[in-house]
Amino acid sequence: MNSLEYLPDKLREGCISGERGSQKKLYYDFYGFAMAICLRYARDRDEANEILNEGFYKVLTSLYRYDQNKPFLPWLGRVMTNTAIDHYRSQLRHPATDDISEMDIHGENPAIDSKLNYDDLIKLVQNLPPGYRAVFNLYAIDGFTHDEIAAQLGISTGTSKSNLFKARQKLVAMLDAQKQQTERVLIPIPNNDNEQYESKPYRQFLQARS
Amino acid sequence: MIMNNTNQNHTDNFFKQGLSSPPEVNPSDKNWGEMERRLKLESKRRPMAWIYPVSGIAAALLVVFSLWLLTEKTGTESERLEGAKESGKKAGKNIVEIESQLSRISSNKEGKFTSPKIGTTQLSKSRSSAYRTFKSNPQSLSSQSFTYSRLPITVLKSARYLNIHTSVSNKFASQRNIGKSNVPVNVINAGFDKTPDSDSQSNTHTGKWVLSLALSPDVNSVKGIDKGDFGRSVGMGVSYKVGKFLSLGTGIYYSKKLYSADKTSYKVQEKPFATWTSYSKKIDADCRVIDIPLNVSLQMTNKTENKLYVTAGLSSYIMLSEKYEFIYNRPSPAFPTGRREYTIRNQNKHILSVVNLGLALEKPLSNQVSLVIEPYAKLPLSGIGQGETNLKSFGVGIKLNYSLIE
Repeated sequence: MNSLEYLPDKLREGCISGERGSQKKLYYDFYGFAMAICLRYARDRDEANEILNEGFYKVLTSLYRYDQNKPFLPWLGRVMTNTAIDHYRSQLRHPATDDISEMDIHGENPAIDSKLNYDDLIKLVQNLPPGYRAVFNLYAIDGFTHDEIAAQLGISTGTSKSNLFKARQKLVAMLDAQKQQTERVLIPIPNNDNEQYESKPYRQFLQARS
Repeated sequence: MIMNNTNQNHTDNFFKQGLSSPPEVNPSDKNWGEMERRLKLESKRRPMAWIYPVSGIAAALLVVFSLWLLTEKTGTESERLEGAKESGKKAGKNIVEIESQLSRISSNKEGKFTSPKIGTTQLSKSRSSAYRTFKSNPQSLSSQSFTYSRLPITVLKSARYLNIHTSVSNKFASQRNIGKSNVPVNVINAGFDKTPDSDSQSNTHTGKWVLSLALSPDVNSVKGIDKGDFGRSVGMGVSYKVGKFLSLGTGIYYSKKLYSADKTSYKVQEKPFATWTSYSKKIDADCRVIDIPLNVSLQMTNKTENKLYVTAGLSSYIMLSEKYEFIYNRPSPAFPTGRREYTIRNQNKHILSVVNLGLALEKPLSNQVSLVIEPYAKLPLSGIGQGETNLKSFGVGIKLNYSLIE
């Protein structure tokens, strides 16, 4: 994110004064960074879009609160994560099922249309039930402790630990299912090297497990 | 992102690494379009917010002055004269009766006077009758009818002090012909100006305009009245009589509305309000509101003293400030007390969205001033405030009315 690590003064002031051009520049410049966070916390792209715009709305209307002497990205990331948590909590009235058998873990043809790269991994995370996904993101990716997660999500520390454990289990199960599906598709193809269908992180993951 | 835990889990690391380098994403113009619309709405709301209370006051003043001008044009001199003659006739009849009573008392004055109470009672009746005549003719609220209605009081006093009753009787006798012959207003006035009790009040006849000051303690609730919190409202109003029994009223009232409700009472879908609401067990609200009512009042009784009115109409609420305190199910790091405050200003207005219903009892304190006690209810037709709650108010208005002299 290089020069965007710190928000240029002109851009910041332009946004605070409500200048549309500056607001658009900030939105477009940081769109990718913010979307990456939103995608992890959302169940799909539509929900990610919703969280993204909610988060950017907070950023653009509360930018005066940002301390310009500190790096901008962590602040923006925190706003996006908080927005995602707020969103998750607002959805609690309609909890999604956590039955792994009902999850769309097979998709179309995983071996052909993907290589378990970023898109595949994000899809697996998105397939987690919301409660597991929130804890897994906060703990595994964003590095919060169970106490912090419990407070943010309004759950007990025990529930946070339990959700993390189950999230990992489900992710591993989905990865295994993905692998089997891949092998089933790949075996009938003669003289085909599996390598070309597997991404580097996935290979590393399989190696580490064995 | 701050890393506080030191997890070494294989699965975690795998995903963390895999998700650490997201591909370049092209910003979506559609998403920006939505964001831009939202920002436009935000910028439109704030600077213009002051205009709502101001335009409300301006509208109320406009209504008042339009009606005022209208009255000036329609109330011609001939109409007033006609009304005065009408009053003169009726009052003349009363005078004849009074005079005959006084003659009787007068004939008894040399020790033959039996019971002054009889005279007093009859005179009181005359007074009531004259007063009714005055009240039943609001169109002819002239100094003449008012002066007549005051006369029996003079007579009553005279009857108590028999030593002066003859002179009073003579005075009335001299006026009898005036009453019978329907002479014009100024003649009647001239005659009565001579009476000893005819003071400055002869000119203090009330008109169609009534100003009022009001203080109303009330209970505000989004559920039942028993679950409400106390608030209050202060302000001033003006009303205009359009007929014998009908009057139109408006005003401007500043209300403090306190209420508390659980999250199910908050209908709002807009974020972040809806989100905070969703994980609150209770939300306390403190709203400051400008209430601009447009009401119609119907006089239900025709009694001389206390009058009863039924009032109905619509109110506009201009929400000056709305302070909400979300009481969360449990504390969070950002809000360790488990409470989160949220205040917005000048963002919501509800034009003619509240039904006003009231029952008013008016007790005259003097010719121009009266006290009004008015139990009322304010029932919304749409969701009120940011939370779009069904905020009802029940209170008792205590009003001091001042009738303007025409």
